Amino acid sequence: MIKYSVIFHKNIFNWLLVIVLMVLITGCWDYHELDKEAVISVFGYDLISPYHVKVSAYLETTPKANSSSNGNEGGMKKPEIIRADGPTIYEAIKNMSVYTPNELTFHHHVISILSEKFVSSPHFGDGLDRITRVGATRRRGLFAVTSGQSSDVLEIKLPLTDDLSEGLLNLMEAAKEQQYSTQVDLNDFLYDLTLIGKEPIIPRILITQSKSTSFQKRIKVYGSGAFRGTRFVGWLSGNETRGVLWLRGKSGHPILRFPWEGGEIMVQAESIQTKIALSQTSRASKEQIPFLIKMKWQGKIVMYTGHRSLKVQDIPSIEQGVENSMRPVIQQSIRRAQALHTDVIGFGNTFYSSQPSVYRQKYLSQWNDRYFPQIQYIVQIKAKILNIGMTSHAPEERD
Amino acid sequence: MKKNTPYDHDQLVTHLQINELLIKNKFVHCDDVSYRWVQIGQSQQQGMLVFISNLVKKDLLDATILRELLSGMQGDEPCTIAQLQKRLISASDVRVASKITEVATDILSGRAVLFVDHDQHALSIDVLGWEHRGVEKSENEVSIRGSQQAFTENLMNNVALVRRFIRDTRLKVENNIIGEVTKTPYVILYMAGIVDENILQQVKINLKSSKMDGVFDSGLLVEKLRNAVKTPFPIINRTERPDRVASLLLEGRVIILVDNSPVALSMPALLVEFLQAPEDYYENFWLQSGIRLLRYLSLAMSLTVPSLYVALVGYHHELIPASMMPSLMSQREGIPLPTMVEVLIMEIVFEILREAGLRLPRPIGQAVSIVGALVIGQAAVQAKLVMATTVIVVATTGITSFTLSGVGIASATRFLRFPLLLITGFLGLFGFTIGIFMIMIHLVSLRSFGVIYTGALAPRTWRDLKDSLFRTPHQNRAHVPWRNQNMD
Amino acid sequence: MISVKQLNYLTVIVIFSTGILYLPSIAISQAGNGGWISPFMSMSVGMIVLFIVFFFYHRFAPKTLTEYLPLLVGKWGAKILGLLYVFFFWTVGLKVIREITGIVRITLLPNTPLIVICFMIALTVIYGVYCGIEALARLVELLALILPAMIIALMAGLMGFIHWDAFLPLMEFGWQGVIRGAFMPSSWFGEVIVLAYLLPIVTMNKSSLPRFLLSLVVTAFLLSSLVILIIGVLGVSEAARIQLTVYELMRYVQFGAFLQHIDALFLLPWLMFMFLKALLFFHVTVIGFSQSMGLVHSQFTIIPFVLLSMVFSHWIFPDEFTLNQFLKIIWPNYALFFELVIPIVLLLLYWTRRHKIQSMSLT
Repeated sequence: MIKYSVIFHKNIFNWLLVIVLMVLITGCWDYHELDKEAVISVFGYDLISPYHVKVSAYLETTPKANSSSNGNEGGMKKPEIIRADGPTIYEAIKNMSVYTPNELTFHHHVISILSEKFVSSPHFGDGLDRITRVGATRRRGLFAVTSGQSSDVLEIKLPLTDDLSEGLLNLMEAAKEQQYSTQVDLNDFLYDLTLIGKEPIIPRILITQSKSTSFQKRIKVYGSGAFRGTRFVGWLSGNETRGVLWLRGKSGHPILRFPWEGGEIMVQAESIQTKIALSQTSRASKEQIPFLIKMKWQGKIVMYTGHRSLKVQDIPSIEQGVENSMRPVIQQSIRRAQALHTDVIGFGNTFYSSQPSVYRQKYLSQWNDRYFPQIQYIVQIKAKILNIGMTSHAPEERD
Repeated sequence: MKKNTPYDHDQLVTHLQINELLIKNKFVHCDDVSYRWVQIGQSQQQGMLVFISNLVKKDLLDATILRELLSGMQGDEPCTIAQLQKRLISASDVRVASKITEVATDILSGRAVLFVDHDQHALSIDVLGWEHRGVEKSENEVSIRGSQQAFTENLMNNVALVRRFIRDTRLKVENNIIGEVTKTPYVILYMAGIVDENILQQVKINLKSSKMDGVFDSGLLVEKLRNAVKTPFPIINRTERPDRVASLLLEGRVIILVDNSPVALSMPALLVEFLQAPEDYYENFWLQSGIRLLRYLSLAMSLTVPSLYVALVGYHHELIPASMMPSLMSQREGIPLPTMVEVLIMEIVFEILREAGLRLPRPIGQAVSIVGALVIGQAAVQAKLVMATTVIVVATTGITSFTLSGVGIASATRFLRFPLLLITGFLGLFGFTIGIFMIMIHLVSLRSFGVIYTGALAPRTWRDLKDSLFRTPHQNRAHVPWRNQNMD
Repeated sequence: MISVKQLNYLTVIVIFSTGILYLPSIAISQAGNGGWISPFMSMSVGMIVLFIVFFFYHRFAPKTLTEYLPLLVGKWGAKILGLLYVFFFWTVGLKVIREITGIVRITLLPNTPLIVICFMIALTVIYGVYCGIEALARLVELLALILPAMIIALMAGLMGFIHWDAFLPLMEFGWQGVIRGAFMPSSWFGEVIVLAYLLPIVTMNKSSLPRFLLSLVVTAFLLSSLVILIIGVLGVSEAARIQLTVYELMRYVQFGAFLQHIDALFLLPWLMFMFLKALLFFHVTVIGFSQSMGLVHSQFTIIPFVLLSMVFSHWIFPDEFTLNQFLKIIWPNYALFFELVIPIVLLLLYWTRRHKIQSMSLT
């Protein structure tokens, strides 16, 4: 026994070396080269018929080697799109890998574009399970819905960039800033989906034909699609999306425009804070549940076309104007959500937060269909102008 | 003579002729040994001076010994060695010898030995003076600020250089000889009162117990001193700068200087001291703290960068930032070798270039490095043999390893880089984790002469960090990091 | 010798490293959005175990659990109980090796055979045990500060993505849910029973108990902050659904546009912490085994222990799902039996026979 330990003691390094080599020389199971991969950055999902799913993938391509050896920087990237179809998403993706020589990888996947038909079918719900079950998917992957064919979106070249995924990302960032649309990744979607009393929305991608001479298609991120569970139920316009985002308390810097004192005034929000509460808990067991929406708007004036020189006493009336122009947007968005029978704002969650057991027993199952469409609400908006800008009035001739 | 004692073969006798025979018998076929017969003064007494003509300084020999001997003392009675030593020989380092082996060693180490008739003792006189290099600027441990002088091959000169830095009686200098054949002198330096007695004893025991035929450089002693600790990390520090030796002495280290070697050994060594440089203490501490952190970063980078690169490009593509993917993919296209082999080959080529540049004369060495940089770098990338990124990675690794001032630690990372590269090449980041874990646990289990090698980092206190990770102002760090740790 | 500080770090790492694997999903599935309170409830079990360990430590100062067992349960009872504890620690080590294998397989090397990964871990553990327990303690000290750095980086990266409405209503399943969510994770806190073997080799004064209690509180705090992040970012029902919740969180972190996909930054230290835990438990296995069998040279026994654990881990848990279910359902009962039930029984035994034991230990 002791002798054995001494042997081990003396030759520990040799032992380790031999054993390590013995194990290692046998193979590198996970080794794969970079150029043997097809990196998918954008996915498009379409539904052709109820049991026929089409998947298109936009590949991250490399600048071609022969052009770069001439000393030119890079060279044009030609988009490569591969398509495949099958009865389910899973089959379709499997078929896709049959047609490509390189190994398909999803780890740099940026955005999935879903067609309206596809998200209206149960395939989307099944697909969600599939993509969260495989390890390669990251929860940073974004979603977008489009009313036409999603594969059309992949073929459009965006101005100023060769990379569709990057371009779409930037478009969404810009839309998110103005709050006509938003940015939803897999994690946000799943969070809204699984939260009690709240339904998800996904931004919408529109393909517009420009009327000018060049017959070019363009992409616009505007509005959003409302979901109930994993099923798509209807569109929200840009303004309705704004209202939903305000009520959800999402950050952004939307610009509002309204007439004031013989001109038009534009204000930009710096922050919008929203608090939704059950207004009177004692009457909560009624059919019509009353909510109190308290909003706090803070922002600055970015444009004024009138001829008045702005003074301190004018500010309250401008603030009043902000409040007046916000209220209809909010009301419209709630009306739209009620019409679609889906609580994308999260009133149900507010209710659940304050009275969990009551909500669970009585309202949970029928919230979207029965109670949400007839909720009562009061909107209280408090606007505050922080800054009137660098000038007091528009440039004009001196009297 | 004492009749009772048995005859000793090693003992000199009273007859000069017999002594001569004894000495000549020792130096058979040693034609560089000179024998000079003199008659001392007016007396009839004969004397014989034995020395190796190339090792002694002739002027000194003539002036201090021969002239005095020839003029002699008053009176014509024969005088004894003791009288000669006291009255006649005007050399400063003189001692009486009575053993043949002792006399032989003295002659061989450049002393002149005087035998006289009617005396069984001999006089060994220091007239050493061979050609040697003067004190020059340090080439291998360059520093911008501070003392520029470096040790030479002359042992006593080196000791003197250290003495000039520490004028204190507590600096102890112990002379010794090592090497069965070469009989190389070496010196153990330490500060009494500061040095740890256990460490000193252990150093002495390790040196005593080592049986070596020849010692030509202090490097040969390192393995004896390490006492069978198997590690690529240097647990004995080395330096050729007297100022560094002085500061190490003040921190309680034991220093060994070997004759004919311009490199001093210092022990015990800690990991942190390989990342310190003399300027750290002479320059502004804010800047130097940052630079020291930079050295830690370099240490980590020189070890890990090639492996991490292989792990990312060969295994975990999902960890590469999206904006870098297209460029890397296009570089990779058409490269014949797998990434791991590519990096390995480039690293080996780099090491070859480095070795070639080291051995060649300086002008050619530069040519080699230019050819290496141009051919291996530029051309190989253009010919699509290696990825441009690989060249960058290998170059970065090389440069980071040059920043490490302690030569020993750079060689450790140079060696460890390869096993780490291999295991990462086979198992990706998991292999990398295993490799790093093993290196780290090996590192923390090391002890240098009983002192924990990672002291000041692994058993750490805030006080220790003041001169390890950072360099705080001098008044803040008046203590020796490893001294308060328990020894066992 | 090990310092108290090193052992405190070790306590935190031992509980935390494997605790974050299943604790969040168990706590959240049982306690809903009140899951972040559960770690503090589980911590109390750890504190009870700690009190018992220190109680015996003060009575039989330089002795380990195996060494003072004969005083409590007699010679043969001690031998059996001592070997049972060795078995327990060995199974913890086995479990940790299997967990590392599983994580590596899921996250880094999906195609590599399990046995290769397992074998490499076994080699690392053998080498680590060979390097000695002091090296382990020092490595812990070297790496310890990475743990809070990891949590802070996670926090900084994810603070903007926390949905605060996920925490309302506070404790949706009430205190009952919180306690249910705390029961199973308490087996991780109970692992402080290893201190019964480590305290005798620590240089410490008699008042070190508060520092160990503090390290438990810190652990609970770190775990709780992770659970808060998980609930806030992923949501309650998602957190309960995902297998490697913390890993999903690490993959979600992103700093700016360039520092994305940085999960390896978190994964590597995490793997190292799990290595440290496996090392510790195999160390204690070896110590316990050599003490109950009276061996002098014990280090070599690590080889059969580790190799056996490799074989058994594959035999018992052929796939991830079995491991997962076993750890969630059977493991806590098994572990708490050794960590809590036996120590309490020993305490009662001591109480009933204290005069006799005191006279025995004096002689």
